[in-house]
Amino acid sequence: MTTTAAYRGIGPAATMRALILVVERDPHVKSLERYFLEDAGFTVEFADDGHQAIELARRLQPAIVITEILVPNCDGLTVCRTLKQDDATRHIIVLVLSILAAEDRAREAGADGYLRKPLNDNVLVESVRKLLHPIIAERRSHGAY
Amino acid sequence: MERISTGNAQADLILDGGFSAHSISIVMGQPGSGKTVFSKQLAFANLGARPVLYLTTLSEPLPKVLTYLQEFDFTDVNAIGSQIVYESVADTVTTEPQKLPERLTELVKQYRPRIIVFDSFKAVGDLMPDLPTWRKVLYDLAAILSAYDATTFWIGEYIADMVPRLPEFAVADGIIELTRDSTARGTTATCTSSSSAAVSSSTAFAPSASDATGCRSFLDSCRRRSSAPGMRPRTND
Repeated sequence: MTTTAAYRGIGPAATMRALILVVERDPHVKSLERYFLEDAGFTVEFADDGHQAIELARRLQPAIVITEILVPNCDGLTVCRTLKQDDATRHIIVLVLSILAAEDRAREAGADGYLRKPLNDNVLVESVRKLLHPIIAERRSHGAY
Repeated sequence: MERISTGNAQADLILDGGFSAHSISIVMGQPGSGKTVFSKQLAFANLGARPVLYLTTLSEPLPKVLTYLQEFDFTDVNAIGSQIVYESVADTVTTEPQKLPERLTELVKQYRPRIIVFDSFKAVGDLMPDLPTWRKVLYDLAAILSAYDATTFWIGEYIADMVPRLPEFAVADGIIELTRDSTARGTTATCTSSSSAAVSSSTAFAPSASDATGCRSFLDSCRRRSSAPGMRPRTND
């Protein structure tokens, strides 16, 4: 497992209600991701393809987007680049979770983290918590959480 | 590549350190060849933070399995129920076999296992109403098992001529065959493996029949056989 964002540790309670947008088309992965992320205290929305992911990210403003690279219409790396180039979405953290060994490509696309499938619930949840730590801390300081 | 130890040094030697993590392997052989002991020894060799999920079907009743399991030296009774979790899917495969993938998903969410063993997996196939249903169930099982970070073993009383006929062999990443050989050293077992998941191809070891230590192997035999082409024995063994 590798993530490129700074890790400073975070407790489960601090992540409550954070919205995660997952871009994934495999129904089995979607089922497991929803279960493990919701069980960890997050709110989860799904996009079935890249175009929908960009539209939902702009509209919903999730704390983090978790995307597979292999998604229809617009691949996950393009989703990542698009979000990072748009003033309205560049602040959204992007975690690439893919069957492909593409850590370098994910980094080049501007992703904040990369994980390789198969899905490991502990690794996924801990990575999300660590990536979200700066946002959670900032929103807490403003009384949002 | 991460490896899953078998708990048997000689088998690990043959498998270049063990089974490939995240793979689906079939452990096949006739009754009495040591399949269940082999898989249980593997389970106890991999105790950790994430459990081994041992799924029984319609091969042997769970109380019988647990009674005999405690006779083996490798058994850690304290791990049973926590680090090794036994669940039966017999009801599902007898009443609604097409719902086995759904049941497996529930169990994965509940236990989050590192290793999943189906014993007997052949019994699952035997109970499917027709081949199209079985193929669909196999496809969904493989999809679930590929999505999650687990290594899977399908144990079954398969024999060699079933390999080209049964669809589960096309889905599995590797095959280990245990066979009885009563002509040498009493009853012995031979392990032959072939795989698309980077385990050794067409090799063998010669453990004794199962005794209190589990699958006991003869190191000299293993070393002799491991010098065959295609083998990569460890130099430190």
